[in-house]
Amino acid sequence: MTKIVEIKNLSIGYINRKNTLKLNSGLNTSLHTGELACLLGANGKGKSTLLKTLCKFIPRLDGNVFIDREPLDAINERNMAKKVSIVLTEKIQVPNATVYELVGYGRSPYTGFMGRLSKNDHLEVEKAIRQCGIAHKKHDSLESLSDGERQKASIAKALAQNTPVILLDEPTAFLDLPSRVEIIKLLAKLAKNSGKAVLMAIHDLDLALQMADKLWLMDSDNFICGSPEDLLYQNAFQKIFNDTGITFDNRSGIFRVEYNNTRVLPVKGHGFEYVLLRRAFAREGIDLVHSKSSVGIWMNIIKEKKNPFQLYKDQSLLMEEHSIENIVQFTLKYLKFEKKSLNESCGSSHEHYSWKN
Amino acid sequence: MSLAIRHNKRYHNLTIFLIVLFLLLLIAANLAFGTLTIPIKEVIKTVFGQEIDNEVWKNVIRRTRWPQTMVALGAGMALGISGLLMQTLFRNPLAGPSVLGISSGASLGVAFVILVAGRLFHVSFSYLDIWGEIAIIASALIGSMSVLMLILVFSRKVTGTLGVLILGVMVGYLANSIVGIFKYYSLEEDVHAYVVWGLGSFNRLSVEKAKLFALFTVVPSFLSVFLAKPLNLLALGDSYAKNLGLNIKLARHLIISAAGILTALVSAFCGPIVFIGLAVPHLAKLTMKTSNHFTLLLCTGLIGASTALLCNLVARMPGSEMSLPINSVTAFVGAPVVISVIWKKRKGQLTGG
Repeated sequence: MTKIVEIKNLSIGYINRKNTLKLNSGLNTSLHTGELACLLGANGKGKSTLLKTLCKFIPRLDGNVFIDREPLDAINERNMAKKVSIVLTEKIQVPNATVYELVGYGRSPYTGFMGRLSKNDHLEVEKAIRQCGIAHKKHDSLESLSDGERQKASIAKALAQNTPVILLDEPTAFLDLPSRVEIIKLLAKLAKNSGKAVLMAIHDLDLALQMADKLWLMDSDNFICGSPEDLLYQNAFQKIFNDTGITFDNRSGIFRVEYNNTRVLPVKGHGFEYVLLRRAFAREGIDLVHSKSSVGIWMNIIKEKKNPFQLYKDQSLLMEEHSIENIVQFTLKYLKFEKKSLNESCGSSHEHYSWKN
Repeated sequence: MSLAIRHNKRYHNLTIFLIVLFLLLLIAANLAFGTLTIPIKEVIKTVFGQEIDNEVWKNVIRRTRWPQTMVALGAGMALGISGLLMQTLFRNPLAGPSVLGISSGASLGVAFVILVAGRLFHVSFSYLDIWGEIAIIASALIGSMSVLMLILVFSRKVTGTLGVLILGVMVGYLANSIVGIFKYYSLEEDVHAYVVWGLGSFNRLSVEKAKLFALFTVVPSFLSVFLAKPLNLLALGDSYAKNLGLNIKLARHLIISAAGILTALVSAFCGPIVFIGLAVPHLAKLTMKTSNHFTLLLCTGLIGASTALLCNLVARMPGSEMSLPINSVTAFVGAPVVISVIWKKRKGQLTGG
C-alpha cells in the first residue's frame, strides 16, 4: 500500500469575484492504493467540494494536495486525466450511446487526435466492462439499462481511464438497496484486486461501516479519518453527528434516531422482544423503562407464552397480544381513555404513567 | 474486437454507402428534372465533359442546374453539420443554426441594406443587379459574423452553455424586432424584396460563385470530422469531458466558430434556410444509432446534402412552370421530423439530444 493522494492543510470552498465561501479548512489525510475510503458527512459540509477540488474542477483555497507525490498545480489537464477519474451522481445521458461506446470514451486520454481506439484500447475497454459485470449488456444502449447497470457502466468508464485514483460522488444516491450493496461490493473488489485507490462520498453509513477500509468523516469544524473500527473505538461518530437528532450506538454500530420522548412506561422482561417493543413505543413518544414494581400501568413480556406481550393495570391483566402493533395501539388508546376519565373525575388520584421533566 | 462491433461497423459502412448512392441519384435528378426534362444519359455525358448536340440542354445544365445543385449540396451539408455541432454542444435536441441568432444576424444585415440603406441613398437595391447582390451577401456576412463574435465573447465570460443559448435566442428576438421596425417604415417593394430574400433560394449564384460557395462549404464540412473527439466528450457533460482531459473552453470556441461560420456562409448566399439544420442531425442519429460523432458528422453531412437537393427538386416542381420558395419546402420536411422527435421523447425527459 503506497500513499497515492496526500492532503496537507487543505482549505476547500468556492471563490467568485466578490467573496470567498470557505466550507472547510485544515484538512489533513491521505489515500492509499488498494483502499476503499468512504467520505461521510451531512449535505452542504463540503463532500462534493472536496472531490471537485481533488480532481481540479475547482481551485483549492489553501494548503496542498499531492497525487503520486506530485503537487496538483504541477499536473496538466492531460496528465490529470490519467491520474484521477470521477463518477458523478447524475446519470450519464448520451443519446444513442451503447455501453461499449461510453466505456470507450474513457480511453480518451490515451487516444490520438481523432479519438480512434487502438487494439490495446479495445482490450482495456473489454476488461473494464467485464470487471464491472456488465459484459452481457455491452452493446445495449444506455437508455435501456437500469439505474444500477448504468452506474456500473459509468464505473467501467472510469476504470477504462486507467487511473490510480477513482473518485465517486454519491454513486448510489438513486439506487435501491440491493444495487447499492452491489455497487459498493464492486468498488471494494476493484480496490482490493486492481489496487485502485477509491474515494467515495456516500450517505449509507451502515454500508460504509461494513465495507470501507477507511472512513473520512466531515463536518464544519471536524475532519476525522481512520478505519471504521478505530473511529467506533474513539467514539468519533458522536462528535460528527452531534445535535443532529441521531445517536450512535457504539456497541451495535448502528445509528438511532433520537426521540424527544416525554413519557415513560414501566416494563418487565427483556431480550429481542423488549428491543422491538421499545422501538415501536419510541415512535409513539413513549420510552420504555425497566421496573420491578407492579403498580399503575405496566407491560410484561413472557417469551414462552403464546401472547408474550401483556398490558397490566396494577395486578389486573388488561390485554395480551402476540402482535406488537396491536398491543401498542391498545396501550395508546387505553392511556388516552384513562387520562380523559381522570380529567373528568377532577384528577383525584395520581397518574399511573409518569411524566418526565 | 468483438463480433457485434464488426457487425456494427459493417452496418455503418453499408448505410453510408447507401446514402452516398442516394445523394448521387439526387444530384442526377436535380440536373435532369425541371420545367424541361433532360434524359439521364445526356446529363451524365455533360457532367463528364462530353459534348452533347442539344445546345438548350447543355445551357440549362451548365448555366442553371449545375450551380443550383452545387449550392444546394454545399448549403445542406453545412447546415446539417452546423446543427449537429450545436445540438451536441448545447446538449439540446432542439438547438439549430438559427437558435444561436446567427441567421437572425444575417437577416438584420440584409434588412438594413434592402430596407434602410436603399431609402437613405435613394436607390432600390432590388433593381441593382450585381452590386445589390454583393451588398446583400456582404451585409448578411457582417450581420451573422458580428452576432457570432458577440456570442464568442459572451461564452468566454459565462460558464456553461445554457447562458450562451439564451443569449442566442435573445439576440434573435432583438434582430427580428429591429427588422420589424425597418419593415414598418419601408416601401412596399423593398419589403417584398426582403421577404423574397427571407424565403431562401439556391439559385441566386452564377456558375463561378456557386463553385466558390461549394468549395467554402463542403471543405469545412469535411474538416469538421476533426471535432469528433471533443464532441464525443462534450456529449458526456462538461464535468466528464474535463475529467477526460478535454480543454473545454478551446473545444467550445472551436465548435461555436465552426457552426457559426458555416451558418453565416449559407445565410449570406442562400438566405436564412430553416429546418435543415434542425432536422437533419436527427435523421442521421436515427439511421446510425451511434453516439460517435465521427460517423454522425459524416452521415449528417451526406444526409444534409441529400435533403437540400431533395427539397430543391420538390421546390422546382418538375414538369410544371411553377416553383415554390425553398423555405416552405424545407419546413414540410423538417416539421414532421421535429414532431417525431418530440413524440419519441414523450416518455423520457426532453434533455440530451
